[in-house]
Amino acid sequence: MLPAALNPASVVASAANASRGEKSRLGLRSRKTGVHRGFAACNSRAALGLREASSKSRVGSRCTGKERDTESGLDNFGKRYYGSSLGRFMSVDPHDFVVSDARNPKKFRSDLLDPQGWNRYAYVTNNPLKFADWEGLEKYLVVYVQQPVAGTATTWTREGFGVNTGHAFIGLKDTTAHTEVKAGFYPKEMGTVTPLSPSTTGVVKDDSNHSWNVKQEYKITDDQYNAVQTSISNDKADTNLQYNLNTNNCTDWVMDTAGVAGVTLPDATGTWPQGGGESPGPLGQELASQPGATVQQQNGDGSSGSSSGSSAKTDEQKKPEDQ
Amino acid sequence: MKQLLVLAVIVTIASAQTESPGTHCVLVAGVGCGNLVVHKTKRSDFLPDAATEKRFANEGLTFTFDANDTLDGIVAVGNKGYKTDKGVSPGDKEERVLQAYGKPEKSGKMVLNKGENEPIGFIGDRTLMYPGVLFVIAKGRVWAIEIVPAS
Repeated sequence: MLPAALNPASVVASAANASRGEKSRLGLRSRKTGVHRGFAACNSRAALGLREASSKSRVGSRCTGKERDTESGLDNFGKRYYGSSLGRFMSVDPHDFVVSDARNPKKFRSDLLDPQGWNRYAYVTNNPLKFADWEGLEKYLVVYVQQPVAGTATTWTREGFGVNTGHAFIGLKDTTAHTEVKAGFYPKEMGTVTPLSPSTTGVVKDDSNHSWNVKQEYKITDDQYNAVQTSISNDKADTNLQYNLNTNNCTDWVMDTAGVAGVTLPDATGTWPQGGGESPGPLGQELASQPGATVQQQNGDGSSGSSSGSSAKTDEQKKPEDQ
Repeated sequence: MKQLLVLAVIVTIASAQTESPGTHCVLVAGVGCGNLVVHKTKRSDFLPDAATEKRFANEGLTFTFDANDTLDGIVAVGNKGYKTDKGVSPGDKEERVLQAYGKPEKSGKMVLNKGENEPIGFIGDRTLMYPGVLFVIAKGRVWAIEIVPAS
C-alpha cells in the first residue's frame, strides 16, 4: 500500500477536489483559471535505472510508484512490465499500434508523426521529464472544440442567414477497449433558443460524428474515467437539464464534465449580441496554446490535415510536480 | 475655488477612463463605426483583452472577426445611443428602416446554429439585408444592426 502522497490516484483526486467547481447549471460554479502544473515523478536516478534498487523483495518504484520485483528487477505496470535498467518495457504497448482504426479507417494516429512514438517498448516516448504512464495503458478525457472561425477566438460568425456559434464536446477514450464515447450538450428542441430567450430544456447527445478543429487529451485514472462516464450517463438520463446560451451552454457542460475528472479547463469567456459566457472560440484558442493539442486548419473529423504540438500522450497538465 | 478645480479635474479624468472607445460612433454601412473599420481593423488594435471586449458589450457593441482576426462585423444592440448615418437605432420601428433604406436586397429569418449546420434557434423574427448593413427585426422593432463589408 503506497502512502497517499505517492499514490497518483489520490494526488490527482485531491487536485480534482480542490479545483472542481460547483455545477454551473446551478449558477454556482467557481472555476479556477490556474495553469496546469507539470509532473516529473520519473525524473530521478532510480526511475531512470541509474541506481540499484532496494534489497527488499518488493519495493515501490520511483517511477509512478509502481511495485518493483527485485528478482526480475522489473516494475509492474499492470498490463506490462518495465525494466528500469533498460529504460524500456518488456513487451509492446498492447494498445492501438495501428495506422488506422478498424471503425474509422481514415483516422490516422497523430502520434505516429512523432518518431519516438514508433518505439512501442519505450516509456512515454522516451520523455519521462514530461510524461508519465500509470498503467502501461491509457484512458483519456478528450476535449473537442469546433471554433466558429478556426484558429480565432471569435465567438460567432455569420454567413447569409446562418449564424454559427461553434460547439464543444467531450470524448472519453479507453485505449484498452479501443473505444471512445463522445457526447455534447444541446437544446432539447431545435429552434427554441434565441439571444432574447436564451434558456430552454437541454439534452446530452452522442457526438461521435461531430467535426472539430482543436482537440486536447488529458490522461485520467480509472476512477476518474468511471466518474466521468457516470456523470455523462446521469446527464443523458436527466430530463430536467437547463440549457442557457449564456450561462449553461455546450462549453459550460464540457468544463463541468472535465471537472468531474479533476481537469480544470482554462477560462474561455466571450461576448455576443446581448449576451456572453463560455464559448468554443476562446476555448479552442486556449487549448490550442497548450502542449499536446491537436489543431486542424479547418473543421473536420480528424482524419486528415491535423498537426500536433507534441505527442498526444500529454498528462503533464493534471499532475502535480511536487511528489 | 481651488478645491472645486481639483474636483473638476478628478471628475474629468474619471469620466475619460470609463468612456468606451466606441461610444457615440456612427454606424456606416459597409464601412464601420468611427475608428473601427470592417476588413481593416485588427482585433489587437482595439480588443487587447476580455475585459475590453466586455466593456464594449456593455456599451452595446459586439464584433466578429475573420480567420485573420480582422474585423468582419460590428453589431449594435440595445438602446445605447448608437445609430446609423441614416439615423436608424436599435429599438426603432421596422418602418423606420424601410423609410431610410428602402426595399431590402434580401430578407429572411436568421438561424442560430451550433456548429456549421445544426440549428438550435432563431435570431429575431426576420432580417433585412442591405449592402453593408443588416437589421434584425424582433416584434416589429430593430433588435440589432450589423455593419458588414459592402461586398
